[in-house]
Amino acid sequence: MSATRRQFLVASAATSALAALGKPTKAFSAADGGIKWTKGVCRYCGVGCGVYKGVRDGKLVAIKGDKENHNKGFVCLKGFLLPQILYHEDRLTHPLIKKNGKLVKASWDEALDLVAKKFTESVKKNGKDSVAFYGSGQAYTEESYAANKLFKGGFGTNNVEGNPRLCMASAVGGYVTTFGKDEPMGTYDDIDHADVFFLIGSNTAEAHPILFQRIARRKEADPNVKIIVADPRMTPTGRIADIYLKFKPNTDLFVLNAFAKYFVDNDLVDKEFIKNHVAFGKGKAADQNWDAYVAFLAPYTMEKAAEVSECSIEDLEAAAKLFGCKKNRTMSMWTMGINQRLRGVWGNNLIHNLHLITGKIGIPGSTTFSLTGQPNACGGVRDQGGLCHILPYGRLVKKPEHRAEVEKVWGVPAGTISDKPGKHALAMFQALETKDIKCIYIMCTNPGQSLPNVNRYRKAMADPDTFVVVADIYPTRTTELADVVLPAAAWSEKEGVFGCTERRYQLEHQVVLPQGEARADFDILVDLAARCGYGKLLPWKSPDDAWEELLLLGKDTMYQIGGITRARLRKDHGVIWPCPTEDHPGTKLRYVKGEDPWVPKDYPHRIMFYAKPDNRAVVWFRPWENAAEMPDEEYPFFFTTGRVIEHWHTATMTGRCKELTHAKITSEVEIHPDDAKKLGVRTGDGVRVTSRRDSLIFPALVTDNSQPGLVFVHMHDAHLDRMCNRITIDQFDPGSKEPTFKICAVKLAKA
Amino acid sequence: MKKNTTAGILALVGLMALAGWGIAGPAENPAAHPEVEGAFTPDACEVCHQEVTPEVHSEWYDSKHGLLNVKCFVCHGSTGNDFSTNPGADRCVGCHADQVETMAAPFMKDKGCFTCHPAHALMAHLPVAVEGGDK
Repeated sequence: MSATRRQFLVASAATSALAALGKPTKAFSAADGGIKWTKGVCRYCGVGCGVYKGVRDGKLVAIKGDKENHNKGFVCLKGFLLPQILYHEDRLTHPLIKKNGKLVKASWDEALDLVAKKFTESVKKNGKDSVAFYGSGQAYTEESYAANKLFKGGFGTNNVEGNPRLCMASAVGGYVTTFGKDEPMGTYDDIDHADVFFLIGSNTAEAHPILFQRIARRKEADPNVKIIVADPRMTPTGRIADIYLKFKPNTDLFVLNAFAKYFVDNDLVDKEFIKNHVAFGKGKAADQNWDAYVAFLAPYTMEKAAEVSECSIEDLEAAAKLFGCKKNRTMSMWTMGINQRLRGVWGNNLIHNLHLITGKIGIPGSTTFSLTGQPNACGGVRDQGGLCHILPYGRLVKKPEHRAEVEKVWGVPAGTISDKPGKHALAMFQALETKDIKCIYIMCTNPGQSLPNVNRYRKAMADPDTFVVVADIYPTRTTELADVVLPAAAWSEKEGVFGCTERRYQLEHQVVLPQGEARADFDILVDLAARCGYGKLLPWKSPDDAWEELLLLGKDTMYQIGGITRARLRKDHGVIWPCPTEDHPGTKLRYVKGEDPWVPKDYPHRIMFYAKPDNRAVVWFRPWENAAEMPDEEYPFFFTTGRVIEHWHTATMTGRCKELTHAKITSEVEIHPDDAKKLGVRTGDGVRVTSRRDSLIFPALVTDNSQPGLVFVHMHDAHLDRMCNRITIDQFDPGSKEPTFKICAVKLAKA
Repeated sequence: MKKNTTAGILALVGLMALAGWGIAGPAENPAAHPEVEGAFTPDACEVCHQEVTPEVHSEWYDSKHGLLNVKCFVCHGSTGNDFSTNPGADRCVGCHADQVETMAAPFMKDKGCFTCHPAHALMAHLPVAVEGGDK
């Protein structure tokens, strides 16, 4: 830091201190003349905080938390700064078509006619599966539904995917295999009742700040509350931890099995619960028993867990004891540290196992609760069926009766929906590479930055023989590869439903007009459908009409969303499904008698896992195994990526907010002092990070928050020279098809 | 966590500044923050202020706002034209809308948020009665 700068800061700090001594501040309420406040939902993460949006003179000018929503009036620092994401000078305000290698201004007619022509011609010439849609857990439910219906019911392909495949597919796989249906059984309210929190593979403080706040408040209210954080890095989440398990990367599945063995060996299991509600399974069949489970757990001793994970046996046993103690209500929470792994589904299963064998489930404060990264991955993609193998509200492409149900609501001939699942996200972009897919429509997401081993897929998208359409609000690393760019209306410039982590559906209201010629994704898709000859399939005048259809599709399923009408969404601060009727309060404790409308009132037990044929959730035997790419002699370091609080995803929005970019954006590489010493690297030096995919230079941040043998880079930096996904590996979980962003092998050198 | 990270980040900023990466020199207006180019360091605000205003940093870090990562720029704005050494209640309204509303009351005349909630520590309330107030 320069002397001038230092002197200035000292002087201005003194000024600041004096100024703060009671001088009047500008009261917002007094100065806000003419601001109109409208209820809404934050644009960012999956927590789904309620906000009020303040508009003055046709412009969004302020955000405040909605105290009647679950977040009780609080928003995180990104949420508070939301208005800026609408007004950066970079906004896309008119369509663009690539001509002679350059994107040039075009009219909507010209752009959409070209898209319609390319897609319909490709279907005729190359077959239905030559076109694809890649969507987002950030689009509104009606938007994702419009695309789902157009592609599956119109073009006749199940090549419909979305970025939730990159983050939540393993959580879906975990819930479906263990409990029979997707989505958690608890809600945020469980936080207020838990005695023990088990946070694993989750930097909650930065990735889900308002939930972290709620956990911290719970601990503040009751000093007996204990928090276990398990993560290979010491993150800000550790500030409230009683026990921090800084395990060696990829050893968590061993630790989870060791916890289970500890429960068995120390009589912490709930035998009555197991007898009534649990089955045991191995591979894909639930045909095992308790004795086989005990035998499976035999190698997973605490001694061995300590050796493998490099955590102390005292900490591991203390954590297991807190989790399993019969009087404690325990809430597990996890996110990408578990999901984005070669065995992400298994990791999810193993967390569920801990709750099932101890009976710590379906009681306020005892639940197994996956945290979500996007505002509408749950409601818009997982529930709505916006992936290649599923149909709306728990239906499967491969089941004839499910296809028939959907075809009936859609009014299309039997057999319209293909019985062949489409290509999952990575397979979709690999098919673009091989030209099996010729045309792709990408909406509200940025795969040109966010896919693993991204160079490979950037090349496929840039290939002049593929036709890539991108609808977004700002230029991104994907729009630069597109043949057609469609300017989309942003959050608050359009209306639609978000469904967050806790099964809560909320309406996001339009409060300002789209900028320039930008249009809502919903309108664009309806227009495109008409130009492709599918006007009758998407006949809607507004998202309200599409929502009516979604209620029809969801009302008689186990999701029971029939009571979440548009009128109710306009009025309420979110409704949690199952919610069969408009006067139903919503269901906080899913599968629980007296709470969940699916459980018969005379059911003889307190809980019923009704989504399984025998009403039994499954404890799966899931072994510990190596990651897809482990460090070796040539590439001796684990490389991992993740979030920081200032930014979100590929920083398309937060990267255009001045406070956030001034505070942080450059990806540095976190490296442990022991490794830094060996490499001769000091903080600030350039470090060349090389994987089998690519080699990039990041500034070093030497910190013992990391551990020897591990380096971390945050995922938000869009600079081509520091895009972490040029390094990551595009292997994926064989069950969920979710990429293994969290682990690959690299070598380091001082640059 | 704090100590080691702090040392690392401080070193990083210093080296980057020496390399001419990020800091563009002091702004002309002495009430403004020195201009900072783009985004250049981890935790840029914290980095400098741990050194130049360590008490202020500690008060914040040890407070609820510090624990919950409500960082400097939430109140003070960016280092651009919106930077303020003495933020108004409009920076508090995001999470404390009801409390900001009360500032329209007559007894709040000539008072601000930080009259009762000292800046940076921002504890829930000073143990003093507000004259004319109902508590």
